[in-house]
Amino acid sequence: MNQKLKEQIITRFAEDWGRKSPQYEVCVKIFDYLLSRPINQLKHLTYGSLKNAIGDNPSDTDILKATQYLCGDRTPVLSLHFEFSDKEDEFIYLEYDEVRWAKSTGKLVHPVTGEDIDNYEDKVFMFFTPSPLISEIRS
Amino acid sequence: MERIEIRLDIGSDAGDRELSFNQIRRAFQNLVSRLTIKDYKLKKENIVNLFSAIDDLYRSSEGRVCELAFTTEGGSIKRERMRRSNECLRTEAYHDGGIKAVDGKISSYRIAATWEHGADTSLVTQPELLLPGYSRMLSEITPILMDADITNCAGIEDFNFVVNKLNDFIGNESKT
Repeated sequence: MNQKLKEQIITRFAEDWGRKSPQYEVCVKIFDYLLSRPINQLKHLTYGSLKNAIGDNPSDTDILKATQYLCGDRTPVLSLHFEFSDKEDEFIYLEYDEVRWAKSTGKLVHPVTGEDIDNYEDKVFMFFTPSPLISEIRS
Repeated sequence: MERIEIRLDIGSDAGDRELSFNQIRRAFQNLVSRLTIKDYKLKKENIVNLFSAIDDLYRSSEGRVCELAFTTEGGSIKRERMRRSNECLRTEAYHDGGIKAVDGKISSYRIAATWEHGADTSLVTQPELLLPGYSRMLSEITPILMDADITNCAGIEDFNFVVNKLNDFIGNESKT
């Protein structure tokens, strides 16, 4: 474990949010969770699994703000991914470029059939994995 | 059947039946208009969100879990059902082994549980509660589940019994 780098990241959380803020608490809990769990069991983290890891106290808004921050360039702890689902329990991985294209055109190209999908926002879901920074700290 | 029944216990004196019925009908209309916005959509503050009850029920020792759907952080989606009517998924060997392998880190999104009701009477029933969430709800920051299916009831006592069990898993501010 690269303890020095770990402490640098936690210091950055404190600088950006303040040690007594709920966002700081969420950031630290997610960070600790990513460092403590077996890496092969961190392949698909949803908001649901992150909320289980964090516990009941922080509000959904605080969790949302903190996860957005953890996906950012300053403290890239989480990697953000997208998947498409229009059938229960069937998810298809989307490349970031596919989502970016959909945002700019307003239509998502179905990743399998190639058809245009209107109102795609309801069918695209986010999930998270540990970022390369986490691998670097764990090494 | 697209019908809402308003039932009135009229007792022995049926003389004020129409008056009483109209009072109940007006009270029902007032209640609906107070709870809903346009197109009868529920106001946000009146929604009873049952989603967190799914995981809370699973992690409790209440009832016998006969169906569970959940995701793991390894990326899989699992759906499990018990065939036998008197055993609980929580203690079934395959389920228990899997849960221990991931240190209990699952996110459940659908659960069915039954209870034996009336064990001290001649009629023992097994009313069932299903909280029918969807896996994609786990990707939402605030998943909302408003449906609960209560089945296998022999009468209103069974139904109320299950509603009371469900109430134990939802916040005091939003009881059914």
